[in-house]
Amino acid sequence: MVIVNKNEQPYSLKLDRFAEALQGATQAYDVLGGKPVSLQSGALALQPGQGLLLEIK
Amino acid sequence: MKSRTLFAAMFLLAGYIQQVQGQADIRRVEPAFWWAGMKNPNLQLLVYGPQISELTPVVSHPGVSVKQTIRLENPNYLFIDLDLSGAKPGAFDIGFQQKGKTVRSYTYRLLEREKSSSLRKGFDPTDVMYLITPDRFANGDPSNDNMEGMHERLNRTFKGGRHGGDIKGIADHLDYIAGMGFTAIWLNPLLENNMKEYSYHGYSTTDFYKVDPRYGSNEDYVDLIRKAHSKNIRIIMDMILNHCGSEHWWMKDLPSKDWINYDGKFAPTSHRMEVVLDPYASAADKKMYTDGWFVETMPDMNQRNPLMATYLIQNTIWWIEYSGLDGIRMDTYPYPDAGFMSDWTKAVLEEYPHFNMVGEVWNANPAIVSYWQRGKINSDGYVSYLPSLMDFPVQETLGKALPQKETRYDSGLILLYRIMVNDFLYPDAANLVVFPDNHDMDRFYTRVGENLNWFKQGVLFLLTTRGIPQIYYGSEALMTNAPSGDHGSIRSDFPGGWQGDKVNAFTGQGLSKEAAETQQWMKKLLTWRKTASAVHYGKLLQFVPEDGVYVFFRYDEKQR
Repeated sequence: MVIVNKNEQPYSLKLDRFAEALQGATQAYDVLGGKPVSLQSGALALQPGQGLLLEIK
Repeated sequence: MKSRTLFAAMFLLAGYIQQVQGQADIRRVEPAFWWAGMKNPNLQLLVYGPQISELTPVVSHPGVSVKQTIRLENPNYLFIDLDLSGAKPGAFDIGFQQKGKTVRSYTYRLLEREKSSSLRKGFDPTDVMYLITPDRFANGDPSNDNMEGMHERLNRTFKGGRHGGDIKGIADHLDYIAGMGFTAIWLNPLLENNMKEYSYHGYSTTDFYKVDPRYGSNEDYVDLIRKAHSKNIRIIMDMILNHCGSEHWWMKDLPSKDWINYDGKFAPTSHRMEVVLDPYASAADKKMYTDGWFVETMPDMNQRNPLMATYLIQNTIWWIEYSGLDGIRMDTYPYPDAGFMSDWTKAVLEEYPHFNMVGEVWNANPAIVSYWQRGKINSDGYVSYLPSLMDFPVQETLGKALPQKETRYDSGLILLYRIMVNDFLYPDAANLVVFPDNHDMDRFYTRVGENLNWFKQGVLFLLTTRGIPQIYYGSEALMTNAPSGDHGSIRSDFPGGWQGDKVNAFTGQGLSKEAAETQQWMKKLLTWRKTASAVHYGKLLQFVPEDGVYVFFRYDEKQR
């Protein structure tokens, strides 16, 4: 999952729209940050201007 | 005084010898050697020398026969069509006869092909290319900075001058390139460019069979490729079939009036590449575009002349077979005769069915770029065999969309999304080469106003979307250019490539904090991509950008 985020303020990305791709996954791995990311809350907190590369577990 | 007299005497003697031996002589045979067992058994030799056309070539060797001999209005050229159907590797003599007597002889060699040469695999979506301008990457051998017989000398203080980078400089830093995670190198042209000025970019070939000695020798080039292969790096050669340099050896003694377009006299191209596929185009516009020259120092070759066409096709195959290439980047793809480009790609792929070639069709309109891809059904009936194209539409859009204000319909990431929708036009979008910049345009970091967030988002997009990414050397260390569009500055020296450089991007010494961090960030991303099967051959699923966020997925059975 690749996220290109141009917001200059922190942004909460709701995940329900991506259900067909996420297929109920609750865990991901932030490849460039080198850390696990939980998808359980149904949203991702994006840092301003941050691009994110997630491997969906 | 004494030596001067001796010199004068030798000069006279030399002239005398030439006279008594008769005029006909051999100065060049091209290609100088070939291979036994090529799929196409035909080989056409260009023989050049004073009055050579007065002689008749004779071959007496099993498996080799002279099919025909072609003479032109210039008596200094002779073209020999050989049939090598049954030839084995080895040498044979071509006798050149006059009145039934052999007066000249040339020993021709047919080499044994490397095993599986025809099955070589070209670059593909598992690769990320590192584009290098050889004069500007690293000077590994200062002893070849100035070479006898080469007009232009080293001048590192001039942006448009030669800076001394060479093949050894690249070979010395293959570990750095492989360590960064790149798996292929596209080198800007390395062939001889013996031009009086601005020769460093390499796009004015003066000898199609010879590496420029200021970069090294043909053997050095072959060694570089072998060494690169040992580190799992593929090498992509930059070729130009549209034009040569005005100092090319044949420009002083053209084979025929139609060898160079516009009768060998400068007339500028219109650069209107649309006319090639314009259903309503005039013949006048087509001629001005296809036959016109780029600049006066780049004579436009006439590929409708079948001898020229064969010369160029054989030259390409010679370099693939000789040096072990993994791909070709073809310059100015729509500028030469379109029918010839089709013949050229077809001939190369018939010898090497799994090879890859990427064409430069510098146009932001995907409909135009897609016209040239293999498999495209064109309404005018034009059939292309070119597997890959440079994705200029994505390059142009990415650099525009990132710095733009986000709006729902007209600007920002929605443009990037929309350009990807145009993939329906391509027979094989996965084989496009995606890139943020190259040697001909502002560096990406400059293009996005040195905004590190935009730079990283752009690179992340390119390294994860469909296609084969290409990164210009130094981007990993945030190289910039000024002023905008300045070619000499875009192609600046890689920091650390020259002795005494205060900043060294190979070691990290002296790099800014941002540059050092970006280099490590890109290394991590490239290394991850090397095994990311979903990015190599997986499907792409994208979502319409909303609120300034563009989300897409790459997925296969193993990864998403």
